[in-house]
Amino acid sequence: MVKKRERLEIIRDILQAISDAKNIKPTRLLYSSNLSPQMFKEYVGELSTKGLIRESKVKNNKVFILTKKGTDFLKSYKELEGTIRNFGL
Amino acid sequence: MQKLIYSYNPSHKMGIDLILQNTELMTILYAFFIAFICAILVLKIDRMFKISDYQGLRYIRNAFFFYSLSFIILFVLGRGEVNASLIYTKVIWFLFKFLITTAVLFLLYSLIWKKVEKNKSHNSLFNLKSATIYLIALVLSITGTHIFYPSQIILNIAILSFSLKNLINEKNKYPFLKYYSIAICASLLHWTTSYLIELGLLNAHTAILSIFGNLAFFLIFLGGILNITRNKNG
Repeated sequence: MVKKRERLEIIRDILQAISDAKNIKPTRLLYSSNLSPQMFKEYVGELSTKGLIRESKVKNNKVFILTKKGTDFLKSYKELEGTIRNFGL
Repeated sequence: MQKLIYSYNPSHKMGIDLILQNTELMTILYAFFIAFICAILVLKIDRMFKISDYQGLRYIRNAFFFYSLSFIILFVLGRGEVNASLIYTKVIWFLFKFLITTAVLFLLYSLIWKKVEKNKSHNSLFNLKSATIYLIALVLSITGTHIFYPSQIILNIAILSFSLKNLINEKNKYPFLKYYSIAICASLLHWTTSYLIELGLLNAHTAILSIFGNLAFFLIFLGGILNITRNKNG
């Protein structure tokens, strides 16, 4: 059975998808994130509220882009994951 | 521990006369050193928590925050204890017991929060779970030696059992899990030695074991976090 992704891994995957594409349309991000539409909405809402991502417009299309905080999260992800796993948190 | 430090008689056996002749200074340095280690841990973990909003980081940060406060209270505010009034001494000792128990409970909670929490709280210092932790700490801090010391030993054994469980589950995948358990063993050594000295079953000179146990506990955690943040790969 495939191991269920943890919350932090899902966040990393969403941010990584945005980072790779520079800007990404919601539908494409939904496919990349591999989440149900409901879960996707919740995660994207949370990430926007926390300032990790923000909405923008490119050629009149809604896209998501990474903020500085989001970029910092990706950079620190290994450090974060290392601390969480090594400290058994 | 309070009695250990202050009743520790710097007599002939050790070849560290300079240290022993300056017990008060060394005590303050010891407290500041531990508080400094805790401050580094709190700041590093807090930075990670602010980025990730991960609850486990929040609880371990709180643990080291309370450890830091407890040592400052006991060894800095309580340093004039010999000449201080009995009430002042009792208040300091009560605060120390309360803060250190809170720290140990937060450390334990950082290992089990996933099993306990359903909803995320926005403030980790003032909510129902924290109130429960404070209440348990309050009850334990008003107890005497024969409940307080064994309670610390039991709490540390609980932490050790969860850390060993993590170590077995992860099968040596994360190197610090092993050191985490060693750190808790050092803490156990500290509390057990302190209790046995309180009971008069160990010579007061063995207080040095207790101090080393305590220092080892904090230094192992500091080494762990510095290593992880330096390598960035855990």
